[in-house]
Order: sequence, then C-alpha cells, then structure tokens
Amino acid sequence: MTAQDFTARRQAIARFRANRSAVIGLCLLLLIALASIFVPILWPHGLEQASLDMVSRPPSFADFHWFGTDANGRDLFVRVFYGARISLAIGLIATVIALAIGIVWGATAGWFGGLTDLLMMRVVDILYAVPLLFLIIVLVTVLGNNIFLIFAAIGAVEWLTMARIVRGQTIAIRSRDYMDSARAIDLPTPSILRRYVVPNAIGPVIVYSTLLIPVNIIVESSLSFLGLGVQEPLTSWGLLINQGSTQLDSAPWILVFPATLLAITMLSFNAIGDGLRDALDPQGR
Amino acid sequence: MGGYILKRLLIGIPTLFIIITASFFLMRAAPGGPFDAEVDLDPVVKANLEATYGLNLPVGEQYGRFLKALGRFEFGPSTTYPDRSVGELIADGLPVTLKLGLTAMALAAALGMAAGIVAARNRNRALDAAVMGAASVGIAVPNFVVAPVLTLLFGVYLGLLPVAGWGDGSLRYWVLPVIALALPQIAAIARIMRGAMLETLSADYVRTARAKGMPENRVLWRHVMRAAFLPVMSYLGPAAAAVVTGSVIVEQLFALPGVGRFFVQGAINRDYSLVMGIVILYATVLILLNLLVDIAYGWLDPRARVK
Repeated sequence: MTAQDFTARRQAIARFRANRSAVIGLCLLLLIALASIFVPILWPHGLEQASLDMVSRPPSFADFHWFGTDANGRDLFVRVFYGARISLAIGLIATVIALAIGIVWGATAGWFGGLTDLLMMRVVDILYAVPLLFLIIVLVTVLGNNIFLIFAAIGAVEWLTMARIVRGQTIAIRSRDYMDSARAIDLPTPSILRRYVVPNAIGPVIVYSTLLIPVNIIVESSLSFLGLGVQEPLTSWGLLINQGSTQLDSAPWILVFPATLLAITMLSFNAIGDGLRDALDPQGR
Repeated sequence: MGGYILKRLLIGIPTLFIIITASFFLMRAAPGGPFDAEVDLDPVVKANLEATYGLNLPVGEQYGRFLKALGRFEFGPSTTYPDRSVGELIADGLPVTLKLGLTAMALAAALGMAAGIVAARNRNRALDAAVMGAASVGIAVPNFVVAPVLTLLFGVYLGLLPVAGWGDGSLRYWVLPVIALALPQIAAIARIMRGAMLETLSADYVRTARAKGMPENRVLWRHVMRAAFLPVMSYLGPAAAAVVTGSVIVEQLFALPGVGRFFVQGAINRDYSLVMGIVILYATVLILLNLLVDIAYGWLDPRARVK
C-alpha cells in the first residue's frame, strides 16, 4: 500500500463523512441492524407468543407492545424486528450471490473480448428483456418455496447490471498503460488481476452493490407480499405488510410499522449509495 | 433507417424465441406437476388427467405441440381454471391490465417530465429540493406500501373512493391503482428529466441561442427540451417493464381482474400453461415496446443509428 493510496482512501472517507444524509443513513441502518439482532433475543414477548385477549391491540408502552399486536395477538415489535432479520439477510445474501455471478461473468466477457464477449453479453441482453420479478416468480414456482432458494433465485437473476458494469470497467482497464507495463515485466495474470484490475474496478461495484441491496429487499418483500416468498411461521417485512394491508381500516398500525421501517431502510441504503458514489468517484455526477 | 430497424428486429425475434424455449423447459423441469396439489389423487385419474393435457408425452414432442399451438395463439388449457383456456383468461384480463398500465405510463411521463422541468428551472432552490426530496421518497417506497396508504387515506378515512375491486370499470375504481402504479415512475422520470435538462442547459448551443437574443421560452422548447427528452425516451422501456411488474402487485392489492392476478394464481398453483402464456405475453409486449422506443430514438437522434 503506497502513501498515495492511503491519502486517496482518506480523502474518500472524508468526502463520505461530509455527506450528511449518507452518514444519517448509515447510522439509521446500523440501528435497525442492531435492533434486528437483539430485539428478538431480549424482548419480553416471543415471536409466536399469541394470546386471544390481546388480538389487534393498538400500540401501548404499558406492557411492552410498543407497536401493538397483530390479528393473532402476537407482539408486533418483536415480529417487525424479526422480519428485519430475514429481509436484511435476504437483501445481503442475494446481493453477494449477484455480485459473485456478475463479477465473474462481466470480467470474463470483458477480459477475453471477441466472440466470448459477444455471446456472454447477448445472454445478458436476452435476460434483460424479461422483467426480473417474473423470472424470479418462475424460478420460485419451479424450485419450490424454500427460503434458501429464494435467496438463490433473487441472486441468480439480479446480476445482469453488475455484469455490464464489471465488463465496462474491465475493458477500460485492459487498455490502460499500466497494464502494458505489467505485462512487459511478465507479471502472472492472477497478480495482474489482484493488483491492478480489482482495485481499479472496485469503486462502481461497491456503489452498485449498495444500491442493489435495497432492490433485493424490495424484491423479497414483493414476493412475500404476493404469497410467493417467506411463509409463516417465519416472517419478513413483505409478509407483515401483506398482513397489515388486509386490516387497514381496523388496525392500521400493523401496516404502518413494517412499512415505515422498510421505507427508512430503502432511503438509508440509497443515501449511502449516493454518498459512496460521490466519495469514490468525485468526477462523476 | 430501414437497416437500423431490421437490425433491431433481428435482435428482438431471437430473444423472444429463446425466452419461450427457456421458460418452457424450465417449467417442465419443475419438481411437482400441476396435479400434485390435489389430495391423494387416484393414480389412474392422475394419468388420465395428464393424458388429457398431453403431459405424458416425451418433452420434445410436448415442445413441438406447444410451438405449433403458439403459432395459432393458443396457449393451451389452464389447470387452475379447468373450464377456461389460457387464451380466454388473457383475453379477459388484458383490457384491465392495458388500461391500468397505459394510463399509468402516460401519467408518469407527463407528471414526471413536468416535475423534472420545474426542478431544473429552479435549480438549487427550495422548490428543486422539495421536488427531488419527494422523488427520492417515491423511488424508495414500493408500490405495495404506497397503495395501502392511499387506500387508507382516500378509501377509508375520506371515503371518497372504493377500497378495492373493479366494479363497473368506471374511473373511480381505477384512479387509486393507477396512481399507486405511476408514483415510482413519476419519481424516476422526474429525476432523469431534471438531470437531462441541467446538462442541456449548459450546452454551447443553448448559450449561443441565448446570446443571439432568442426568447427564453423558445430556447427551452426549441433547443433544450428536444435534447433533454432523449434520456427520458430511453427510460420508457425500463419504465414499461417496471409498470408491468408493478401491475402484478397492484392488481393483487386492489383485487382487479387483470392478467397479473392470473399470473400469481398460476404461479401458486403451478399452472404451467397459464404462467408460460403470461410470461410470453409480457415478454412480447416488452420486446415490441423496446423496439418502438429504439426506432423512435433512432428517428429523433440520428447518431444512435450508426452505433
């Protein structure tokens, strides 16, 4: 690591920290993540603990039903943060899968170029023509309704844009002067990739990943909302919103709390993504 | 221009064919057939059912039969709705979905562009911040949250509009679904329009037009808008895809008898023909739409034809 790298990184961090909405977003997200870890463990009410005389109670601070209870008399506070666990986990894992496929696909196409590139990018174009939610619904229909398959199905579909970004970066880097010098001193390909290609291509990839996590959370929530995703007794934000939307007139809080948390999470991720883009690529918009 | 259109067609048609083929084999590879959900079906009955729908034939032959039927716009019988064919179901649902989708697209384009123009003309002022703030929220909050909130507000608290259903198909039944469907696209188009306007406003030819004393309104309509419209235009393809996806959710939410509801029902019941028919329908519509957008783009911007 050279001194110049170090200052570039420090400058990027400083730029990120100067972006107020990105920092607020990061704090809110950390708070939600921590709550999703600790609330289900520490909260006095259990996830499945139902009671008939507590059905659809409005929020109250008296007996730790801060978000009220649902139609089965289960505490909504613990359910919302348990749902956060699943929604955030699916968002993250699906993004990692999409990242892996997209990087391998895009880098291979960009690196080899020619016919390989043409064929691989045609596949991406073809998949682009189908709305992704449909592909996922077809995959979920085919693979069955298992939560791990949902992670995989979302990840297996959402890698297209990532592949395009990585391909573009790879092609741009391949023709740089420092690549010629690296080849001139006969550096082995893995070392070239590790030392020159990855560090120079990583910026847009990080930014896009940050923006892909909320997309994947929405996809999971949409699936669960339609009854094609996470199933009871597990829960997720989409499922909670679905349950809330059926009793909107009598118990609006069942919808309001998961929906608000989902919206805060989306806005936070988007703010962080924008902040990272400005921090990592000051020339760009 | 003719060659350009031909080139676009040569990309679109194989794409459609590959989608049809891939989705056919994917559905056939699925574990669990359409008659597995029934409780303990007699094997003889099951075999008869499968023979009726041609599911006992070799997969290759099924594919051939499928393609032949597709040529006659027949998608086969639905196993979810045994007395209806998939073609009939689509014909039933399509007017609702089209009405919803096209109105939402028109609304999104009109309002989104207007908001983007207003924001760009008031750059860095309070109005710009307000419009762009609203747009960020609009993009971040998904359909299935917007729709229940709208219902709660206008349907339950104010009692102005029906909460769900299609009724006689009159305006009051579809105004909320259309708004729920259009809002995220309004937000997205507003952002794109603002960015494009700001970029064009700083172009040399705009400065020239102003320098020679052209009235500001004429500069905007003649020079700025024409160029700023192009990025919005190329977003219309992805916007259509998003509206199609969103309509699946909105139809479910408002209990509208559109194609999207049949799609979800079909997916839950593993109804091969129904799911396939709708995927093919939507893919065709989107490929055609993208083709139109590409052609319009090539017509508006000659540079695109060369690439």
